[in-house]
Amino acid sequence: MTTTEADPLAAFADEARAFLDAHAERRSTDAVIWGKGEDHTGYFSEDPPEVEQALVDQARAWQRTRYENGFGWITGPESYGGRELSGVHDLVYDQIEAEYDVPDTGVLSLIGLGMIGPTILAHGRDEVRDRYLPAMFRGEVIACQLFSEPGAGSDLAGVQTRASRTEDGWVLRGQKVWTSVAQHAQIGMALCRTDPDAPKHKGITAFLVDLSLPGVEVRPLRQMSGGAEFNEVFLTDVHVPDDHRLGEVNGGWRVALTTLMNERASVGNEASTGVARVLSDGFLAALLHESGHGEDAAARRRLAEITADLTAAEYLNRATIRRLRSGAQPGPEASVSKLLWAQNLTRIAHLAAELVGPRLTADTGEWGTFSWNELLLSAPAFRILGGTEEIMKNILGERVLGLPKEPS
Amino acid sequence: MTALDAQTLASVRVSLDEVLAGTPGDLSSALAELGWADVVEADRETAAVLLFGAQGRALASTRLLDDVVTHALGSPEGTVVAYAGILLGRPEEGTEQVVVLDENAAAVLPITEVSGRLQPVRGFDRATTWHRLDTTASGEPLDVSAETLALAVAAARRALTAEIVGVCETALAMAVSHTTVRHQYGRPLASFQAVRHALAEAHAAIENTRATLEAAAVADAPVATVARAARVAKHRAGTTQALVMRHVVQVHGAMGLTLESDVHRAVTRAAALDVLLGSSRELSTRLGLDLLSGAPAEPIAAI
Ligand SMILES: Cc1cc2nc3c(=O)[nH]c(=O)nc-3n(C[C@H](O)[C@H](O)[C@H](O)COP(=O)(O)OP(=O)(O)OC[C@H]3O[C@@H](n4cnc5c(N)ncnc54)[C@H](O)[C@@H]3O)c2cc1C
Repeated sequence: MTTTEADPLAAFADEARAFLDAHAERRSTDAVIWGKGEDHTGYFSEDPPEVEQALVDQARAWQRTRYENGFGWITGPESYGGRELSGVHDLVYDQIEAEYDVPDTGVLSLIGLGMIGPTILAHGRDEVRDRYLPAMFRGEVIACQLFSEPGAGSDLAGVQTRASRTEDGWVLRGQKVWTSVAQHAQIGMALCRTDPDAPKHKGITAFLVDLSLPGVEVRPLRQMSGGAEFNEVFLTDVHVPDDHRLGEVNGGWRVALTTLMNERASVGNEASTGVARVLSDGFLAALLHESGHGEDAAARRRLAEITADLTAAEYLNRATIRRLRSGAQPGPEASVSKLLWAQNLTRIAHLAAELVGPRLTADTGEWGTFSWNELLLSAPAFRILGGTEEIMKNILGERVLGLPKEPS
Repeated sequence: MTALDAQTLASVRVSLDEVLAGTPGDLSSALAELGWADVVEADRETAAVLLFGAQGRALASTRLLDDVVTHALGSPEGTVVAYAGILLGRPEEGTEQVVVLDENAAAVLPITEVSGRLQPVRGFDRATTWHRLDTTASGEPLDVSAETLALAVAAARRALTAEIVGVCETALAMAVSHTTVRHQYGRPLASFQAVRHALAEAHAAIENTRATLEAAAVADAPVATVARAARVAKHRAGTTQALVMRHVVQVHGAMGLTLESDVHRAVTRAAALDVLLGSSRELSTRLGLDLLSGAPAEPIAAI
């Protein structure tokens, strides 16, 4: 790094530390103490609704504090309350914030601020940007992604939810599914069919839907890991004004690609609290000791391999984020991160399951044993969400390695 | 971070590929002509990654690694290196001493004690010029600090990682072109999903190792950190080459098993490089022990 770059960055880092010192406690730097504190390993919330609601409120409040102090949207345009700083500043802030004990803002940031925000900025009309962007980055508006449908998963361009013209806008009719955080969201970005006769990628339009509108119904879906984080969303004659359209009529596929590319980049980098803790080497090392495998050379080597892979994946993410945040468009290489993230977490879940043995399946109250079932039961989702493992490999084969197309 | 801009890096990469694919006998004059000394001067670490990447891609066998080690150890001109017992070539005229390098110790032997004790390595990689030094040659302990030694081993491991990544790139490129050209059932092999997915997995592993190597190339971190980062990188290089070669050989079918195709050159070279200065298996044992004794796994906070 050259000195000309380093100085403003150092000043920014000082500013961030001063802000965090004033508003948060430093995270304890003690080594992991086995048996102390939470032993959750899950990716999905399993809390009762009132607890979950309280966590969402804390997330909103913390995002608001960030925003009011100039750290809510570090790279965003000033006109929407951003700082117009570089991606590197954003990274520096994230790293510094990780030293403090602050609420997990994943419910807002992963989909809303990470995927839908950039899409609105790139493809929304002024009315929509003015109305929603500052509100999203202030933590008031949570956005969800209304893409998948019962009949359209990997083959997303097959969406059947219809949007038909009315005098002043559109009426939406159809069903979405697997919609994460819809139960907490105020708006959703929906992909709808607007021209059923056009080739499937050319007849789709994207809309921003206010979820408080009549005709929107959100129903939770319960997962085997315990929680109910994603939902079915029914759209029954929902009237959406035309200024809530993102991009061109029948140009929705391009808009969706902006969202999906940001999704792959952010999924591989995601650290929900339970999983982030599992990923710490101290926690995994403690598991090996405590499960009586500290002297087991084979187990030790597997642990080392997993830890090395986690470290490698972390570096890959940082390299990708650095590129993205210095203005590069997200590209198919983000699929590499997504792929590895899912593979690594799956391997950890399986190693943990072997180490704790039968204690995995019965809750005996023993700390750090039964709790691993959360990760084991969450792990299959990692290979599905944000584009399945098979689809990631298809993308890498075709778009990165340039292999001949599969026959369709 | 490097002092060299992207355009320079790209053009250096092309020139290096040409040089290393050419006559290895003339390597030093070819590098001099390229102005290599200036590149090294500007950014030694990036230069090493570029050079060894090119050596790997070209499947060339040289003694360039010795330069990395002797520079890090501050050894005089005329020094060659034995990696545990392996020399990368027969010492040339004018060589005065051999440094025998290990993870935890280095010893030095005058060349006069070495000459009669060298055997060409007849391992499965027949294209190398490697020689083995018999184990009775022990020598005097080399007078360097533990830190200097650790940094030298780390620098050599990073160079080897770069080289293995290069070998893997070449192997994957062979597989991409073979499966694109060869047809079965009336379609290119690469249009079958099992084949595409194998190659996509190989690509992901290579990119991941490359990112690890970039991150391990930190100058101003504590020595223990630098050493661990290099261990992680070399470990990953080893597991990556195993995965890449398994897929690359498989998608070549019987062709990949013969000497008619070049695939075997990449397979044997990568496996040979894996054993230099710690195989992935040895390194994972060491990393596992470190981890359980409380060493943090996260080497560097690089941004
Ligand atoms: C936890 C979680 C959260 C999610 N959140 C959201 C959200 O917020 N919003 C949203 O819109 N969606 C969300 N999704 C949906 C997710 O994007 C889809 O599940 C995913 O794209 C796969 O679609 P599908 O489940 O219909 O599987 P399918 O597409 O039916 O696939 C089933 C299997 O077939 C394989 N397959 C399909 N096509 C091919 C092919 N061409 N080649 C090889 N194999 C193939 C798949 O890889 C998979 O293994 C979420 C999913 C999960 C698990």
